[in-house]
Amino acid sequence: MMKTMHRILISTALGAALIGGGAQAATYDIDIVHSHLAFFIDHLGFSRVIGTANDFSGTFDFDVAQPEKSTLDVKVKVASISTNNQQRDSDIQGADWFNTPEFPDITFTGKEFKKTGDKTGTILGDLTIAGVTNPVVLNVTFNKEGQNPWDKSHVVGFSGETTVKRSDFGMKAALGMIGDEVKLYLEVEGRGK
Amino acid sequence: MAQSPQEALMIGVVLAALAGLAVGGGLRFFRLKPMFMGLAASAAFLLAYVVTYNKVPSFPPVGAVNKIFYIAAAGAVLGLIVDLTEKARLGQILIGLQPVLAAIYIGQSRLPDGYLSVAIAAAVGLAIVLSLQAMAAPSVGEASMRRAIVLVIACIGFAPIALLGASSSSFQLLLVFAFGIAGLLVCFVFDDGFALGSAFYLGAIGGILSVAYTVTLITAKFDPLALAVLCLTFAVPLIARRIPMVDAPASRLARLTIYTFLCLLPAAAAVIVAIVSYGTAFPI
Repeated sequence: MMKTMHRILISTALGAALIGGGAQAATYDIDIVHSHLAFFIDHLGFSRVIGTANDFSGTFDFDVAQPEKSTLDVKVKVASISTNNQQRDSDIQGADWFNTPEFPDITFTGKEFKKTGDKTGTILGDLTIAGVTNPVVLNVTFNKEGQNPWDKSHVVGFSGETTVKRSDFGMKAALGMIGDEVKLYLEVEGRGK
Repeated sequence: MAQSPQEALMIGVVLAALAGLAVGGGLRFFRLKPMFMGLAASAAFLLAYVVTYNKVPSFPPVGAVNKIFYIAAAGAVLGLIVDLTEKARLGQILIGLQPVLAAIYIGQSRLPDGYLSVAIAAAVGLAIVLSLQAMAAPSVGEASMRRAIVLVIACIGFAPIALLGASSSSFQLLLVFAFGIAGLLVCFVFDDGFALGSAFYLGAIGGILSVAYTVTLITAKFDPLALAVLCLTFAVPLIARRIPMVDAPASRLARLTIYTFLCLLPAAAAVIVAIVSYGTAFPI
């Protein structure tokens, strides 16, 4: 009897430790301080212009044991896109490109989450740019989940990438000079709510 | 075929001019009614749009750029109906309403905060259309030709202003359209019965105004001084009446040539103003 009680106590303690310090289903806010969104686009074949979106937000649900049950909603402020050239940054806000006055946000909503490896997966979602929505698959790497030692918050981190064609979103200006394919890279940290 | 964007544009405008010549020659040869001129001009605009944007936009249109196509298309259809039914009064009402409605439709995302911009754009658009209509009487032959010349020159003048205002697509569209129409017009220089038709106003001019609204209200990076100078192009018909030299030559071709050069003056001045005030390298 004592032996059985002892086993139950040990099992309970172990379980509690696992739940408290390891994987758990949670809702996260994107931590803008430690998250980055960059894109690369060809310029006449000579080089790739690098741009960043500096203001975006979003939330996601994630459980490392059940990643397919995740959710994801991201909103990017188009006005925050920078390519390190003031003139060009202003130009791309116009009707030929992102058309910011009419469509101030880029959004991505995750629809289907698949695990493809120990730490990798894909997210099929709807990407909306300039009022046009297309399905896009994000290739995602799960980096780490745990406690931030500074503020003890629960953090989860991912890296991701995908390629989209700007022409699919109606952006066909200067197609002969500026590439159609846009490579997107993201680094995201989520803070548990 | 083209080795550079400049070459591609050159090829585009030359092909547009040749197509305009071919269509204009056909219209002239078969002595078709003015409504076909209006339809041809509207078709030239829609074709220039499709060539520029590589698409017929989905319906209902999403965003100002896509709305341009349907404003021109709807205008062309309405213009054709007006011309077929010969309801001149209805035509006048539609021609007066379109610049205002198009400004509101294109600029709706600027409302209500930017209502003043939309109102100014609508007022300028209406003034341009009315000035083209009231330019001279009777509205056939040389008088109609002069109206069309003003429009072509205004398009050519506005194209670089749009380009410097970050609308390279508008630049291409305006030039292809202008040279296409120029090709059409050449065939009618000596035609006393030449008239534009309601479809010309509602389709072609409606489309051009919509491009201007998109550049000024949505992209909103235009040079206001350059645009103000360009608007003087529409005052040329009034000024030309007071310059005896314009109407002095006995030859119609000579009169139209002088008139065209007169129209080019404010357009060229507007482009110079835009280039000078841009003041930095074009970041392509």
